[in-house]
Amino acid sequence: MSFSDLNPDAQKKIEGYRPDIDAEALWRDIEPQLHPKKRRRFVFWWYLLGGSGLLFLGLVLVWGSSAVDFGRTTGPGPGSAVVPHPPEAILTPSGAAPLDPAPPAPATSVTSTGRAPASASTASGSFTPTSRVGTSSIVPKSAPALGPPEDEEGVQQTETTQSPTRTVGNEDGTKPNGTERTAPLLPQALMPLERRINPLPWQAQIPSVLRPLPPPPPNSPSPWGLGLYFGPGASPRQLRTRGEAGASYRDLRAATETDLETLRGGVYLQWRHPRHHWYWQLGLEYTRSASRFEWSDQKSIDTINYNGLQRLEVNAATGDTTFVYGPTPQRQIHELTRRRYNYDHLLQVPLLLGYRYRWSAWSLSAEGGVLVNVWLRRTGAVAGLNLDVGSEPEPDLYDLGEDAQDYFGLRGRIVPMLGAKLAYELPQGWTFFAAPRYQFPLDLSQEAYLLRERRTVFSLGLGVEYHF
Amino acid sequence: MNERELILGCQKQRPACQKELVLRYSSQLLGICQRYLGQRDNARDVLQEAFIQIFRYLPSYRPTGSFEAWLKRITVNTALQHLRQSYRHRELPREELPELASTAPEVYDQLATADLIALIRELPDGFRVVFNLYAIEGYNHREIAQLLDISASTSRSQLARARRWLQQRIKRQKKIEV
Repeated sequence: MSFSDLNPDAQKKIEGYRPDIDAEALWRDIEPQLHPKKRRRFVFWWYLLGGSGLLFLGLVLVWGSSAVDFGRTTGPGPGSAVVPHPPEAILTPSGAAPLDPAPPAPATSVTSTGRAPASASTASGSFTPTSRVGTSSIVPKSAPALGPPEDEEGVQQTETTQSPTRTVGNEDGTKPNGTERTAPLLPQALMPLERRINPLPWQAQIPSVLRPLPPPPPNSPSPWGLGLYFGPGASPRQLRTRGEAGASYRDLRAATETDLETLRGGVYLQWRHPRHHWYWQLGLEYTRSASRFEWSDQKSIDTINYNGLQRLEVNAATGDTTFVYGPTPQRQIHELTRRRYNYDHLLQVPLLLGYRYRWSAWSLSAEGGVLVNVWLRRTGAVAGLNLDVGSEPEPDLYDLGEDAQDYFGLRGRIVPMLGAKLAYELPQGWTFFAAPRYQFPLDLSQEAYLLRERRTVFSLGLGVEYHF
Repeated sequence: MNERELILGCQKQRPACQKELVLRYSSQLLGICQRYLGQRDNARDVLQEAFIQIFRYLPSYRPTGSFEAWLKRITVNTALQHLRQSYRHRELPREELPELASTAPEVYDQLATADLIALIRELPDGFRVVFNLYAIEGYNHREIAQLLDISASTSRSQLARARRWLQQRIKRQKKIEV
């Protein structure tokens, strides 16, 4: 059997055979596979970040506008320099005794400023900013008692506020049953401190839902607190070879390496100095950092034969030369490209010292300290980008998870860090915060590694803190 | 758009160039798929898969040889891959074929191309692949053995059987024509 099975004409005919095909329809089938709708891989994290921010803002506003529990804050701490919060005003129906026993602070009887006060004098005439109480209209007990205001339908509006929470009485003016109703005071959080303490007369006229409340508690009773945070970060890395031998590999990696996401989260225990602004913090933090680079190599494969000169035979006796032709292998060089993903999992212990400056419910802290590495685990995955046409195609993706390694050599390595924390303190010991941070580079290189890798993390943590 | 521009455009993943490539070569490559695949296989599906492979590996294409040959090779490999996967479910024919004298090339020449392709497509899988690789693509038995993961002697015997099978069919057709 030889090529003569088909003569060249028949061979050409077959090779040139072109059946009819609806190429447009074929393209319509192919196109979706070539250009699928681009999925943004990390869109989830952006949503998470946005969602966390919204949650943070929402909690700040809602909590800030909720009833304030002063019970935890009126008593001065041991040696506290903090000014105790003034007592909350008690609003009672005319002639009615407050539900609770008189508050410990000097009693003040406060005439309600209902949504639509019946008497203008109630608001404007009796408003006396005699104390730091943030309620809107306060008169001394000796002042003539005024009846409960009526709304437009003539129903008396009585509002009773008692410590520790403000309680709203029955709308029909009967004895309050003690049912607590939290008035949404959204603008409270946005109102300047001065106006919260010393409201203007016109502010006494505004409906109760908009009435300013006293400022939030100046400090939490307990110096001990627990915190939880989570956030994304950037990982600008530095690749350096150990010697010039790996310069080309380093250049390849430097040219193709892309940092993917860096995420971290952690918990901490905080101790705040009761009289000063200092605090200590000790925690445990997990960081996951991902990167990708492309690695190329060449592979030569004998794939195609063509008829060429195989050998020369020279007859020594006669001097005749015979040229032997035959199929000759042709070597093809294929470029192989692999995409490699690296994931570093770090566990670190942050030890920080911070200084906190408070302004109203807000506080700004500067903190610095060290991160002590306790564990590093490196995993990876490889994706093939091209096909070796001369042999079996390799799997598109194979996980190197089994090749994951723990590097305990990094245990104990210490890197410094600097950070800031913007926090909003809520009643009952809760604080929400956003904390940008800069962490000095951590050398992740190993003896077996050609490259020295450093991970430096600028990051932002969003979290919550609770002082119990 | 010349071939070079077309390749560059496809390497840059430009849909217009990719579409042009499909429109330009789909018919020719479908012919290859039909030759390699039997009647039961859907050549168009394999062609579609071949184009996916082509676009996937086009970025690594180096213009050292004929682009058309490169396309054909990918298509052939895709068809072989398809056959390899479906071999598990099919049995090679073991029918005894009578020994016949070698058919002269002219006999094939007398057949219309479409008839010849139809005949080739009727060949059993194993015969057809070996026949295509050997008689049309020009591979030798050693290469065919490597490609199909069979021995060279198996390749030879498959080719001989394919030849006898074709001869039988051609003879039968001629009798009908007479």
